[in-house]
Amino acid sequence: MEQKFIVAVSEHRLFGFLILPYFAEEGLDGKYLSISKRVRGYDLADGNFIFSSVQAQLVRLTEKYADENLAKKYNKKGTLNDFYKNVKTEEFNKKLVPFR
Amino acid sequence: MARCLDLLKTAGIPVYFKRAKYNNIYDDDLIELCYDDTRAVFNFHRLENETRYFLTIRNGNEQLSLLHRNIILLVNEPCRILYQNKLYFFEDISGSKLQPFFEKEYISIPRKVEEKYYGSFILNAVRSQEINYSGFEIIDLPGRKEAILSVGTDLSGYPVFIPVFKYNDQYISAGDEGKKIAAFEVVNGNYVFRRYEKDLFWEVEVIRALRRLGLEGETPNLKLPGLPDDFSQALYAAIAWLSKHDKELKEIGISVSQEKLDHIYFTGSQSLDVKVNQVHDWFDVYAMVTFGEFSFPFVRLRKNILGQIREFKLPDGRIAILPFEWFARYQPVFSFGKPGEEAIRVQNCHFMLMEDLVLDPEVTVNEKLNKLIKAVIVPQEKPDGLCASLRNYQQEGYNWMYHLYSNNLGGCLADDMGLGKTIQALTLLLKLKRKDTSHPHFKHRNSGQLSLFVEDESAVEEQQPASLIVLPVSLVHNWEKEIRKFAPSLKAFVYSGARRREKSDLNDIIANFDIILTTYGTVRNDADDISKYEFFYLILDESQTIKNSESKTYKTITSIRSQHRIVLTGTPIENSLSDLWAQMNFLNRGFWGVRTILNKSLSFRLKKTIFSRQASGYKSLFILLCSEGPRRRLPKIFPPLPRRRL
Repeated sequence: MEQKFIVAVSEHRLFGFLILPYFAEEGLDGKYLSISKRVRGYDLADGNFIFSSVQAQLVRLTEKYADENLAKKYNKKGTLNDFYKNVKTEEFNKKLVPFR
Repeated sequence: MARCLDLLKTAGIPVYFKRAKYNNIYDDDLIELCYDDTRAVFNFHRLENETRYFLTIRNGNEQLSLLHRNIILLVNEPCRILYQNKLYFFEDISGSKLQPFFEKEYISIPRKVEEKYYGSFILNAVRSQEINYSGFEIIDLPGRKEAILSVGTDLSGYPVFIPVFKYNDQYISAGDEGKKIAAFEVVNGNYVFRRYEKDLFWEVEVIRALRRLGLEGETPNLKLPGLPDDFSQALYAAIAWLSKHDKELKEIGISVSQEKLDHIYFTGSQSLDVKVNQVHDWFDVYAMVTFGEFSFPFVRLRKNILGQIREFKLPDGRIAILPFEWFARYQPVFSFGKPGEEAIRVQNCHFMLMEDLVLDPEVTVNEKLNKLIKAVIVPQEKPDGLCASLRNYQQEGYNWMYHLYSNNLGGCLADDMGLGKTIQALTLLLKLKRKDTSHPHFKHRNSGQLSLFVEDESAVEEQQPASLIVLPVSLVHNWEKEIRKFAPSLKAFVYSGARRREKSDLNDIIANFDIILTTYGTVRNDADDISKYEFFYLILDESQTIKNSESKTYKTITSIRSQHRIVLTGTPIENSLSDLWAQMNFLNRGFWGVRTILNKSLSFRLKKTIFSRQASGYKSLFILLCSEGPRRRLPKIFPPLPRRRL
């Protein structure tokens, strides 16, 4: 099945609503789209999908607020689990969510 | 995320709403992007006990209610909200202003804090937002606008130019994004806002005009590029820029404010009108300086020009900054000239200064100067009666001294010891030997000052007196010997020793001899007698003897009158440049100005540091007057002999 590049407003359990890019395939009867995966930075280089310049730009921008990148900004040596575990919800709401 | 949403405007990429934990997306989840014409209207209603404030959202003609509508605030600044599968883009409001109204219908402002609230939050809304209101007054007025360029300093003390726009009595800095200007006041308990439209197009034009005149940088602080590092010099340059562009700034309609500076500086137009009158022995330099409505003789700026003080206080208290080029051009005039009430008197010997001062075709100084400096030194024939053949460099020295004689200039022959200064001087005297020696009395000139501009030379030549050669005692015998050997036709008298007056008096000696040899000591002792007469040539051998201009010898020697002067020395400078000044001042009095300014002026002229224009001219004349310029050195003329082997 042919993959489509779409953008969706999607709710993150900690950061609130985010704009994220996805690959989606048409459902069997063509009445819906089925999301196959979230598009990440490394997908730009693997050659499985040909991105337009705007799509590539969107992927790069959304990658900046991907969990892993935010965790690195929080603590370069820590893991993603440390990030979730140590940063409280209030801190997310106060220091991160307003600046999305 | 705001950048992502802006990209989506033109990308044509479908945007959906994805429910949590669901991977299937249906057509109902497609989001419509509403880019245009979404705005928030601020509503303020002043009631009896409170003021109510709420927002209404309009998209085109449609009005949206925010209350309990499950609105998702996607981006706070600039505000982007998702509401019923529509994504709304706001341009001039932040999401935090909308957020309170997701949960409540209005915000109530109690009476006791009302005034403060009106003077801040509502005032800002009146300036920049669309509002509905009741219970208070907003008066829209036609704006009276004025552009002001305020000069101040930044945190480091460097001058900056701050464009400010004044609408009626409200000052707005450049770059202010508000569309309107508003002022709040309480009139008899009623709240009144006075509001004016900003002329954004005019503001942009003013800033563009300032950039065209040379200002750079981002508003609100514009800067002048290339300012000196020194703060005060940078400020002077900034004020000079204002003066230079005074006319253009007025034409554009920009007034200048200096309230942020410590002093008020004059920024109007300034000019200097210079006229030079050539009189017999001097130039009168008339110069009037004008700063705006004030006009006064330039001579009043003498202290400033000589002391390199750029600030001058005008009668109204403002401070004028003298242009830098005035110092370069006019400092020599003040250094060498004598200030009068309205004019500066400059002796003829400083005619070179006039070249830079005015370019007036009526003044013939330039021609004379060029003639003098650029003239080719004509080779002279060996005079009859010279019992020697001159070497080439001696012939050149003789030609050069004759050239100076022809132009009524004194000169310094500064050849190294042993190169034959004496024979060169004797050759000159032989060439100029008087034809008739039978005149007992001489017509004395009124002044001992040599003049470059004497037109009638025949009167002087008619009655040629003897030449006086002043030398150290140890050289008297040598001169006598050389005169006998090389120029026996010259009648020489040694006016020295205790018996010098036994044979005849000085008047007879001057009448009957061509050369009088005397010593520095004798001149000092007989100064009163000698100074009564005028000599044809006054020649000083080992002229460094008069290097101290405060000494009695110097004062006595300079008081002797003569038609021409030459000094001979192998060491014109023994200690400092003031040695040379004394000798040059003897040769051409006043040419080098006052000795006290020597260190400032002579040294920089020769080194060509500051006043290069004057330097080049002075150097040319200096070389002409003193063989120290192209000085002949012994090793150059006679290469050293090979070392003897023992």
